[in-house]
Amino acid sequence: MSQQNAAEAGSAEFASPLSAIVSSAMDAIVCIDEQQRIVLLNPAAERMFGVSAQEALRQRIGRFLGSQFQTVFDGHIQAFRRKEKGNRQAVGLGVIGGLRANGEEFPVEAFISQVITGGRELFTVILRDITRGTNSERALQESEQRLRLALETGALGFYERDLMTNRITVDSTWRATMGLPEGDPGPDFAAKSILGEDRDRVLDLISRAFEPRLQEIVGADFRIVRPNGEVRWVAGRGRVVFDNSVQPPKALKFMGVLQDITERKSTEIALKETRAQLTQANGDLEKQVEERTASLVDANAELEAFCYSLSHDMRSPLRAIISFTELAMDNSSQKLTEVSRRFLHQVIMAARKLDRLIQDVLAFSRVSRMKVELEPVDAHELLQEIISERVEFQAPAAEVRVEGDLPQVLGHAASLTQCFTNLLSNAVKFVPPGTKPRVRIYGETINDKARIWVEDNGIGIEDSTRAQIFTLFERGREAKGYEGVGAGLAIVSKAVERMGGRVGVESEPGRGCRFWLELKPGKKSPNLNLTGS
Amino acid sequence: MSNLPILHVEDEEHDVLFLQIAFDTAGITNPVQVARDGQEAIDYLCGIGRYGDREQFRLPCLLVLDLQMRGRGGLDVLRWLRQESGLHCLPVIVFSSSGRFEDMEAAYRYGANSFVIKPTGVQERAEFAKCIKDYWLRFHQWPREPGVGTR
Repeated sequence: MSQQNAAEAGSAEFASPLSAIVSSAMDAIVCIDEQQRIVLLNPAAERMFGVSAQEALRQRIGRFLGSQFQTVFDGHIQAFRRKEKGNRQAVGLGVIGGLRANGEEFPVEAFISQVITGGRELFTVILRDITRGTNSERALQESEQRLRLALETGALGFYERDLMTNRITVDSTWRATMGLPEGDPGPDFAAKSILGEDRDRVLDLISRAFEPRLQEIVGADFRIVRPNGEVRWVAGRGRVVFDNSVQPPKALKFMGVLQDITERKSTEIALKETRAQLTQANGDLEKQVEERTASLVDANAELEAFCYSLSHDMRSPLRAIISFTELAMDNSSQKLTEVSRRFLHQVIMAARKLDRLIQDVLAFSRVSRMKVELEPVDAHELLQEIISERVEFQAPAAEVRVEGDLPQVLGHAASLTQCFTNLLSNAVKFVPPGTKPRVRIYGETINDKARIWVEDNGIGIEDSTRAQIFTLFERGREAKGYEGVGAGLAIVSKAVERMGGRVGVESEPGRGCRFWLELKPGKKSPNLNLTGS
Repeated sequence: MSNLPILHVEDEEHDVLFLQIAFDTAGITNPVQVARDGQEAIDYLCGIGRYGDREQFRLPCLLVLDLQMRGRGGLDVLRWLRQESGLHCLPVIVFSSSGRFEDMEAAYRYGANSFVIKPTGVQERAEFAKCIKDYWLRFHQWPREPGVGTR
């Protein structure tokens, strides 16, 4: 039988009261044969697709479908044909894309059913144009379009369950993810695939999506078990589409997407482990720091004990050496030769020097360990005080002048006193024999630093030794023959360091030197002056 | 001038000798009693143990007190002394090897009357002894309760 004949036969079949119903139906009704060629269409279909029956007959129905729906449609036809004979009721295809003759695409809701007539299979497709559908239908279209876009760009598996017909639609990505390459997933497959441990949590969440008041998109990361037993991590997102034109809103379909995140998850887990290890390592480190701090505190306490012993136990024998020698000299002054007297005098001098050394080491270690709290110090006042307390800084022994107003500095009064005392002692000490020491003290502020200069008319310091003079027990070559052990400037340097400042010297041998001491300025901001008036 | 003894609390043998020589040089005639540590000093002042005989071990008019000693140190003696009625005003010169800030601060807090760093040489020591003679033994006054320590 030719196709022409088949169409006529089909027409003849409907030449009955039924044909009147078909002709006047609001929905488009299209009959196709097993090659999907149109054998019959009603006027509603003609209007919908913008063609006459004459043009449409014997065309493949694909001509009137959006290209991306052709395969979907084919799939449905194939699936339909595989079904049991007795179970061929009409089935909804959901919303698919129709194509008008003028090229316009439009959404149609499609149902398909099958009739056997004259031993031939014919399919009846009922199409309803939903372009001018309800708001909820439009929203549905939009969300579907968004969803499809998301699917295409995000390698997402798609799952849809029509709540009216219970029909489940999934795509190939979803199948691949779930490990179900073929066959109908069935209504329970998805839920049963969720790993037992995660199932309640996920189903609970999905039940939220069915809450008409919320109408929210739900999502969770969870594990699924593939039919082959393999466990995968997936990220699932889903929502229920409601018809909000009725009260209460009616749930129409559940749509969900699924993404395999096993790789990401294992990275996450690895990251978590790494983080845990890091935290552990951190803890270990902190413990180590604590232990080291404790051992430092111990070491400090030991140093303290050592210094204590130095000052008390070591000075005691020195006292004995000096005193006994002196007593012996007094006692036997008549019997001693001049040479013996000189030798014994050397013993005393050496012992006294050692005593000085010990005291300087103590002073140095004291400055190193002293608690230094910075506060604004009036350098001018401090220097005047120091000068007034020592005759060697006053006329006629020396001429020490403080010029202009010295800047206020941020320092520690006791440490600063030590610094200035040592600098002034050096200034008046290291002068050529017969020269009267003249010392100028003046200040300046450079780049937010307060600098105080101590300039003398002494012997000066050679370039080669300038770097060493701030080291404990290092003295310049010029210092030979002058009293002292080389601790004064080391103490100054250490004290200044503790106050967060710097110290330095400029010198020309034979023409004196200029020591400078630099600290943060001790600003007296009126805003910070809390003492008030 | 009183002829009551001076109690020198010192564990270093040569320091005992040096101060005695300095006292002699300065012409101090008061007898010097020696306690070798803090405990002995307290025993002496209480008149107990081997210091039970108050005739022989009379209460001193001045304490010269070393701080660092084996056993109980100078600060222990000071703390105890200042709570003893009849003795709490006894003049005490702390005589120490070092002028450590913390030591000085503690000594004064516990009631020392003076803090002196042990002189190194014979001559300085003699000068110090002279000061003791002229000031502490001559002009310095303190309230002594009659009969205390004479039992």
